[in-house]
Amino acid sequence: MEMAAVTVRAKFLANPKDVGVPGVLMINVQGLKWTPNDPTAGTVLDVKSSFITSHQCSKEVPNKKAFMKVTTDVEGRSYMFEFQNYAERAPARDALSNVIAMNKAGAGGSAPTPASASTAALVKPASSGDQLDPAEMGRRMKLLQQDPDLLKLHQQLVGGNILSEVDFWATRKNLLEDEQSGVQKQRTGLRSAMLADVRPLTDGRTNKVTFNLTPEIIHQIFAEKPAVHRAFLEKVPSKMTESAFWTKYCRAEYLYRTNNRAAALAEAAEDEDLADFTRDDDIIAKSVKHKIQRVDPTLDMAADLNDDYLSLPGHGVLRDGAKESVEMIEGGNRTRTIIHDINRHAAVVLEGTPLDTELKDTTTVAHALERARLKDATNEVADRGADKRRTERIISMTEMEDLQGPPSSSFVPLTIQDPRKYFDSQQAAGFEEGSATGLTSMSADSATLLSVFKSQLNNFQAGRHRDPAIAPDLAFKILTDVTQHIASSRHTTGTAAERNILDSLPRATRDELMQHSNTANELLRHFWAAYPLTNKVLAEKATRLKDAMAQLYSRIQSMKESAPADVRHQLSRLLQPLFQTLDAAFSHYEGEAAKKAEAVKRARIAQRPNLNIPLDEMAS
Amino acid sequence: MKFKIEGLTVYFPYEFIYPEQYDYMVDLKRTLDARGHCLLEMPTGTGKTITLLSLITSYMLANPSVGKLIYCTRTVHEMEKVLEELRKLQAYQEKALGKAAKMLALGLSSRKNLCIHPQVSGEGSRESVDAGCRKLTASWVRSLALDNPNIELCPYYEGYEKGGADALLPSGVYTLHDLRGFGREKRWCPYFLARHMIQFANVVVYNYQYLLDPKVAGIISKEMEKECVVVFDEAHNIDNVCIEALSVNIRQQTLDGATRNLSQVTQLIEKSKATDANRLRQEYSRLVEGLAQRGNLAGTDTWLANPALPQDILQEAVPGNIRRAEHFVAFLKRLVQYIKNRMITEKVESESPVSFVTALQNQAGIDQKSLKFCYDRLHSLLLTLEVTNTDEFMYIQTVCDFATLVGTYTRGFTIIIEPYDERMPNIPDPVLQLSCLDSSLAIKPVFEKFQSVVITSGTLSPIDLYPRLLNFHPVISNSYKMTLTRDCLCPMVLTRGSDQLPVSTKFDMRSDPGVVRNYGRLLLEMVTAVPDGIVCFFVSYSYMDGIVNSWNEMGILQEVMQHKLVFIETQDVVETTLALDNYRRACDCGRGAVFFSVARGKVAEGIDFDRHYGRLVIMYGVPFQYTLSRILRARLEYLRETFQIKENDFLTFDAVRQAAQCVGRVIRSKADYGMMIFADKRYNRHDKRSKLPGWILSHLREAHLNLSTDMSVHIAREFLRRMAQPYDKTGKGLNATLLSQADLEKMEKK
Repeated sequence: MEMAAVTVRAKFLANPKDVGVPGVLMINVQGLKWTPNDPTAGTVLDVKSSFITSHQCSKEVPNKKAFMKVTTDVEGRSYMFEFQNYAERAPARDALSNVIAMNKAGAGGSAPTPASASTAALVKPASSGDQLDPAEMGRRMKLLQQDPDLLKLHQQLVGGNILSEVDFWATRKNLLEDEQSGVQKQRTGLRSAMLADVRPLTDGRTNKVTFNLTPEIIHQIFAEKPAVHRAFLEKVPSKMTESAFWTKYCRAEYLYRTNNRAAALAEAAEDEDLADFTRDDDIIAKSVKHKIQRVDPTLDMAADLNDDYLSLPGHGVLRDGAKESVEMIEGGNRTRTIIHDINRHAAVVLEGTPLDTELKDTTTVAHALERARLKDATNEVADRGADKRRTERIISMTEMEDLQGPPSSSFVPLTIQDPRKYFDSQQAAGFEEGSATGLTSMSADSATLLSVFKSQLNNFQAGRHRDPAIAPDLAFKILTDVTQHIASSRHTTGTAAERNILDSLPRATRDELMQHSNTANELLRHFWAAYPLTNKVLAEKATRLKDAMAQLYSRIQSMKESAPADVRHQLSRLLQPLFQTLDAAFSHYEGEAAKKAEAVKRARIAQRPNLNIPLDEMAS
Repeated sequence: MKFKIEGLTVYFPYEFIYPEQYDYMVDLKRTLDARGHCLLEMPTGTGKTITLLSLITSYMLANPSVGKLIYCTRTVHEMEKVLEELRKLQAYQEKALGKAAKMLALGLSSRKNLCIHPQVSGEGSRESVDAGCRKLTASWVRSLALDNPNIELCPYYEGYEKGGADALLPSGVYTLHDLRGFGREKRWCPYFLARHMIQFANVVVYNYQYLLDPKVAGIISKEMEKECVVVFDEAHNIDNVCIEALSVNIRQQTLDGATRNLSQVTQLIEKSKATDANRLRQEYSRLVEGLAQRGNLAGTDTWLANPALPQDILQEAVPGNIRRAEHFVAFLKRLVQYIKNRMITEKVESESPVSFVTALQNQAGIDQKSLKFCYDRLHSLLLTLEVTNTDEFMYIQTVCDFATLVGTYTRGFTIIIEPYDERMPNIPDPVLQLSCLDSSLAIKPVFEKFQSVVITSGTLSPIDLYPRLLNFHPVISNSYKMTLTRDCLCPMVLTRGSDQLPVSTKFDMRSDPGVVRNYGRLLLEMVTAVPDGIVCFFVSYSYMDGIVNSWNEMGILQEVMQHKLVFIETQDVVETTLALDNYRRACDCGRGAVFFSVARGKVAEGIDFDRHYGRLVIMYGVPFQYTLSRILRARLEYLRETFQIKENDFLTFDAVRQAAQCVGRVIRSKADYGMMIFADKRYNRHDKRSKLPGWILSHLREAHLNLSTDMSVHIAREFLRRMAQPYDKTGKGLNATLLSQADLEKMEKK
């Protein structure tokens, strides 16, 4: 895969708080190379592409520095670069992601799997040199396939070159992440029905009976009767064919079902394969011993066994009217009963080990189940939280919730994943602002810092007081208007207002409308995200978005006009908020453009940079 | 919250209290003040345990002269729950009072549940753990090990011994789990540590048997001081426990085992004579001096104590004819042979202990006095012979138990020899049973020894029967009504199926397929209407087995399984425990489940089905005892003659208390709710119904007494809809169901 080398100015930071050494960063297929401007200031960095494992970029926030971190697998070393601005960082970032993607492909021993023609066409026009690793691409494509609305939006915006691929997906990171962790989606459990309890079908004319076994049933048979599972793994196909195995199994089942126990025993005595089906004591006993230790202590009746000295032979009354016959109690040497089967079935369903493979044929089922079992066993051994769960359980079983007072307060505690990082960044931000207000020294003592902070705080509060978000009387007026509007519309339309207006529109119009509103929302989101226009890229983007919105505006307008007369009124009511938001965007754009022109003019006159303190901006 | 009851400051670890809890505390306090016993019936789901603990510990804080609280539970898991509640209370008291509220509370169980020795604890049964422990810790084993380092000892017991007087538990609340943890940490044996710490503890929680069964009480509870307060929680079956404690049965295999034991003992005596004849001679001279028991036994050597009650044990010299080891063995051989001969019989024999002893004297030349000493003599012999594998000598021990009891008691006992079980006449299984008929015998020493005994449960109705059964005079006996914020209990009596045919488990109806189907339809309808957990109780295992098989064949079970998972209690305790655990998990995860259980079974006795674990309980049938049982007949006769209790009254009382016990486990607090269906036409009859506890009866509406399946489903749906609505927890005005600290202070001022 060919790629052009990228060369940009970048500072190298030995540690995150460092000021950095200015230099030149060059990225190409071989790797990255950084050379300091001043040869005495630092050594040349040369990292082979095969060592680079990942890269991280700081968020694009205006007035923040553009950082990029490159991680390698050489002793986990990483390098931090600071760029002049985000625009300069972008090509470096793209180039680096290409390098990493190629690495991965190389390591996998195969070229990245070519995307299928149709979807490739979908993504291609937007990618424009911005190569991604195939997994990420695959995820995006899958999402697009699943969601037709998203696909349309993607075609319109990215296909129409209004948005870049990266921008489009940046706002949908959560979707991608969900998709990535899709494995953790809700697991489907097993069905409650007793499938393993296969009943024979008779055709009514001959003496033939038929058993129907599907892979699902077989899975359940294996799960509930470990002896059958074991026998299958041992014997098929080395000793007998699969169909012979199942014939034998069904035969045993049939004899059991017809209550022909003597015949079943006789047959088992002759055929040791058959006998294997019924001997599952050892496997179950093993797992029982294990499980009984994890049982909820508030119902652990096994702990009682023998605790009360009643079990001494000969202690107490043997045949009381309240006790059942001794034969039943002692006849518990696990002859197979329906009760036992039911308990076993329910336990298996509850454990619910859905297989990671699809149920295709029996052999895969058998092996997949074996794997799942092993995994469970290792999980259980590693289970360390058992003790804590035990106490929680017992507390929940003894507490009387309605005697407790009301819960003290309902808040969600703030969890900061990496506190150091969080506070460091706060501090850094403080310094930056400090420098913006004229404090050049980075090592400002705490007293000065505090005073700066205090003055800022005072400013801030004063600003809020003087200039609330919206004038109270205006707010009140709007509220009254809205209330009146709702009341009047209810009055005019009566109960019809309860119905969704959308439902009354023709289907085609509705779909179009929905699509337009989706597009508009997406465009608006990106449009507002682009402000303030701190650099040229953003400005271009805003212009592009504005043009797209203007087109959309006229499209919606024409749609409205071409709509049938009976729905036009409702349609225009529906579209009103949409138009308003779009109008607001246009006017903002124009206002900003005018302001910028003004500023440029003034700057030319004053020849000095505009120092805008963000806090003031917020207050205004 | 903290409040005063007649001058006593009570610490209660919740912010609100139910009015009935308050009333219960008042009565309890008066009982303690009067130093008498009481009988209190408190509905389940009103926090009985915490009320008891809270009042008694507060009383103990105010009156240091009160000794310990001895809290008796029926099962280990109830013990764990009690200790957990105590832990909460203790934390609260310590917060309020500081160091002054420090206390030591611990649970005690057998070695099986406390042993931490890696090999011994894995043994399984109690007897084998006991024996395994003895092999490593018996005093002679330990003294041998002093010379021979190859003899294996238990490191935990040695650690505990080394600790000596310093081996103490710091104050706190210890469940069995905590004790094991503490033992592992310090490398001390938790069992002996706990046994030792009992005398310092403020609260001891253990099984009924530890107080009621003289065999266990003799070693564990002997040292308890008189000033203790004893609580029997969930005591509705206490009469049965008392009877079991003094009863013995001997089967064919017991006698065979005893014969084997005797020949082993003979061999041991021979060996002992050859190696160390001195030992036997010493024992003989000790017995001449009249000391059946060696003075101070090392803790590890203690055995189960004499099966007779302490005041009935003779403190005199062992009779001469059984002093010599060989003579004693010959004596036992004669006894075993005599019993063997008696058991070869075709018909049921029933006789009093007196006539049995006379016959024994005449035919085998065994006198009553020697019989009486049997148990102690055996104990002494086994100690002298330094037997550690005690689990193998259980059979001869049983025979000696029998001999001692039959020699000691003349009244209140009966001997019944049955060649087979009447319910299974084809299987020969001869058994000789010495059954205690009088439940007051075993509990009498407890009432006499301790200052206050509290007997409490959710079902003690009719409450006047218990003082007669147990032969004591309570200072206060009271049954509390339940104040409810909303009707969160919904008992119903279902008498007919949807086809209007009556349903019952009466003997002539129970196998009728129509009844079985109607019962099945009932469950099926309920499974579709009720969320989460449903519990079904059947009258017996054999009945449940039959029903499950019929439902399986009719396809009802398969239909039920479309809605909920099914779990079933079995005779195997381990399997049942796992089934219960799975049942809870199925309810937790929202799949919902049905649990089939048996009245009088282990589950019915001690497992709670509160909250979503049981929104509905169906009691199929009336759980009568098997009325033809000989022992039951003998007991009924005794009750009629001694206490003037009518047979039918007792049988109905017994059946209904079991039914009430089964259904009473659905609610834990007033925020909880649950339905109860009594599915048998006989519950509609006044004599049955009136014996239900008051708190169930008061919610049993006239309209719900004669329902068919479809009507009950309708009522269930209505009820569930009502319960799903939000409500005011505290109740209003006069029928307030929650009292706050302020309310209580107001009451105190009045």
